[in-house]
Amino acid sequence: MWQYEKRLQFPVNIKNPNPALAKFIISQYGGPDGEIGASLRYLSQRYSMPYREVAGVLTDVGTEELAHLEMVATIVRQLTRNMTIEEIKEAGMETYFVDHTGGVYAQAAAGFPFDALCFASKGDAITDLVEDMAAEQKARTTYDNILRMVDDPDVIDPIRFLREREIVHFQRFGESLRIVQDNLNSKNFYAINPEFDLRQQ
Amino acid sequence: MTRSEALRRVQEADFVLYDLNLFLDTHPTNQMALDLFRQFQQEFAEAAADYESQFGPLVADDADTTQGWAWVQTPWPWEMED
Repeated sequence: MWQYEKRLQFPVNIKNPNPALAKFIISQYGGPDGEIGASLRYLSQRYSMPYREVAGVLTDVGTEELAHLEMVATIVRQLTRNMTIEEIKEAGMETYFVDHTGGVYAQAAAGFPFDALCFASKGDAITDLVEDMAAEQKARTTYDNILRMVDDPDVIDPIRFLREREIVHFQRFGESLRIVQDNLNSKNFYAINPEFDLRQQ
Repeated sequence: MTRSEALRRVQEADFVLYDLNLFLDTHPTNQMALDLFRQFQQEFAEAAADYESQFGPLVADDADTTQGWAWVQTPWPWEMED
């Protein structure tokens, strides 16, 4: 189970609303490399993970991603608060406004809605951890791209924090992969799938 | 201490705990990390108790119901801090 803590993991206090930024930052809420996809990917993979430490990493990183989801939503909300129709038009947010008004909706920067196809749960420890390492790098690239287009320090600081966490998670998933491989035949890591072939009969 | 200062102390202590938590998941016998975790457990507990006594519950379980239902009266995290 989970318990909600009424605070952000890292402060977000954006003084100047700017809906044009929200238009693409929302990709880290509901886009293909966004935080909801990351969280549900890891929290789904953990059930069949046979190594306790790695199930711990999947649980704890998946939980931290929920805190990141809340930070991204807060950034979007603060950038779009009190928008006038003129500001919506100027920012090119008419299409979003028509569908969602000022509500936070899980979609990519390009406008397509969140799709569970973007997270993988293959039931193979090596496959899933390699996927997770790539996922962290894809999220890091997305945050790098966002940082190229933002000049407001109130937005840059929390985005930099989120970017840094992708690197830490990548490191922990790399160690997780090594833990899995240390438990397998070093001459052929792929001889078996530990999630399927090592089950207690 | 202002609300945002008290909150920052909670966030900093818990960030140390969270980062150590992830590190300990893959390095469960690292004594330096285990010792640091214990140190920041105490720091977090003090920071959270201090925040909650002045500014209301961080988790609903900690709500003091003699004062009414403070959970919905204090600001939500997406609202501006000050």
